[in-house]
Amino acid sequence: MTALWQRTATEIAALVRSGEVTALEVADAHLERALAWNDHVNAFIHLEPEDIRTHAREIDRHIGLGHDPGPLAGVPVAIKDNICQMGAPTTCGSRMLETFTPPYDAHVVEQLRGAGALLFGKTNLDEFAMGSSTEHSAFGPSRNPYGLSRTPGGSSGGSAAAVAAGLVPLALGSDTGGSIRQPAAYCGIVGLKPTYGMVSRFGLVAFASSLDQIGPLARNVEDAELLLRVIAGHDARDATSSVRGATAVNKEPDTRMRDLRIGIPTEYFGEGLAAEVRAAVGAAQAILVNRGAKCEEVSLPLTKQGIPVYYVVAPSEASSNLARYDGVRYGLRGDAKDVRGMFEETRGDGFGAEVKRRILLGTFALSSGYYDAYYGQAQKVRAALRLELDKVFESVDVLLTPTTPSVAFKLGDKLDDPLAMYLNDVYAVTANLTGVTAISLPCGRSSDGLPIGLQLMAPRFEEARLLQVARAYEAASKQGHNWPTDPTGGDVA
Amino acid sequence: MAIDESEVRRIAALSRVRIADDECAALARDLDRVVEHIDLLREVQLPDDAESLTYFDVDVHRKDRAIGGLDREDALRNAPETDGTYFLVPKIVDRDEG
Repeated sequence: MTALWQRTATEIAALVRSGEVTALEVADAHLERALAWNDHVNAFIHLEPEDIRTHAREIDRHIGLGHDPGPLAGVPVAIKDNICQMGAPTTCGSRMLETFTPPYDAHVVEQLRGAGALLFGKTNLDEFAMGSSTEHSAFGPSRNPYGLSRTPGGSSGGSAAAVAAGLVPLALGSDTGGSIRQPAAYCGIVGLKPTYGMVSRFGLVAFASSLDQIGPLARNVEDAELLLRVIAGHDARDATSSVRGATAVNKEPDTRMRDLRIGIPTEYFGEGLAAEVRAAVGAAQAILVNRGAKCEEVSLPLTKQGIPVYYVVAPSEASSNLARYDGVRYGLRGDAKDVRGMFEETRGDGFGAEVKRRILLGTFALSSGYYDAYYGQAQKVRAALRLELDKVFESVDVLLTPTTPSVAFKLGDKLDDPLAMYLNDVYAVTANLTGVTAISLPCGRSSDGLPIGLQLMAPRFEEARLLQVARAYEAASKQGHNWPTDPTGGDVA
Repeated sequence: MAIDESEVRRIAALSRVRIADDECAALARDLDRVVEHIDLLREVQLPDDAESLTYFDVDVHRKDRAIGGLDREDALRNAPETDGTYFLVPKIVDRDEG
């Protein structure tokens, strides 16, 4: 019999709703696994078994009274620790917020509660989601379940490791420049960045507000879609939340596979792409062609500017957003006689090296004498990139690319070289800069057994099409989830 | 070299971040490399009438009206120092600056 922790979210919800299994049994099965694995992967930075069991009993009581708890009935969902859950610590992986407990729920957490989900702990991340490896977490790095000396990716690395290893079937991440898709690729799972405006950012601790978007991580496309449907929709507390979100995710796909036009952007297959990744993505493309899709080469010359634009826009917004950490209302306070000294001590002590780098970089790009050359120019190139991409989407339905240039790198490999770490996001940032939706799907493994990710991108609010192509690929590739070898010496699936 | 140690100190002061002496050289080195990379942007030829983006496709405008916020107890709960009614901070007005 398949163990409960191996079940998909869709299966668990059906089992719990039908009364075949209780939410408490689901909780205990996942807790047993999470507690055994977490010492090895450091996916969770807060995991409170008794709180989880209490919540599971509430769900069971609700069912006992004849209520339908909702589409995620009893499904454990891990939450990235930059998303506020009332009463649970929300540290953003930072010493600055080590003691912070939010007095409210993020919109997505309200939606999860309403759908009957079992809130299952807070996952590790790079400090304030700034990084691609979780090595910038103040609470130590997470580790890749497929190779414990390697990164699970970042910044949503804890969420990705937890889903890949079967500690939870679903997790929430946030994606500002690839932070859902890159860890999904490195951990062999599905990660989706919704269209900007589809999911409310209310209660997501802000990093770069014009880029940030919350999205699902799951072991298959169906589960990712299930979670997306729960969290998508308009919320007046986020001024950029769109009314198109809920309808977009529920509409029927508009394209038949045999009419599908796939664009292959040449810029994503140039220098720096590992041979094994190139081969795996090529094989994925062949599978879709075999299903009747037509591929054509397209060109997006401005995507070469993606990293420079991103590393002006994101740090600039971060330098403004993180001004709130001043030692007054929440978080750490540094010791000083005067208020300016208090600000400087608080921020000097509370922020780690990467966050300081980004705040300084953003302050530089926005400072007098540099603003037009950096921030102003970056915004113009960003606008031009968006026009360029929209134009390409007039002739193709989706784009197919690698998610990352290589498989998961070793912990420590890029830590002393910020620019090398930044360049890892080269295929990811275009979706954030232009607001489009994108998904990473597992598409095979390297000779070292490390997962490889395929990225599909679709126009804004075309999640239905994106998911349709993703499902078609998943079905045709016939890859089930590849369970990692158990480092605890326990059961191996 | 766009960013040297004195530039790091200038932007750190603007950012209100204390930088230790031993952090300064590494920050200058790292930021200089990053700025050298983002300088690629300055070479991009854009049409004269290129517009920057007005963010984003906001399709719902809420009324400019106050809505309920946190109650006082919740708002103060995470603060490092309060008197139960207000946040407390070190004295703000510096005597030398009047």
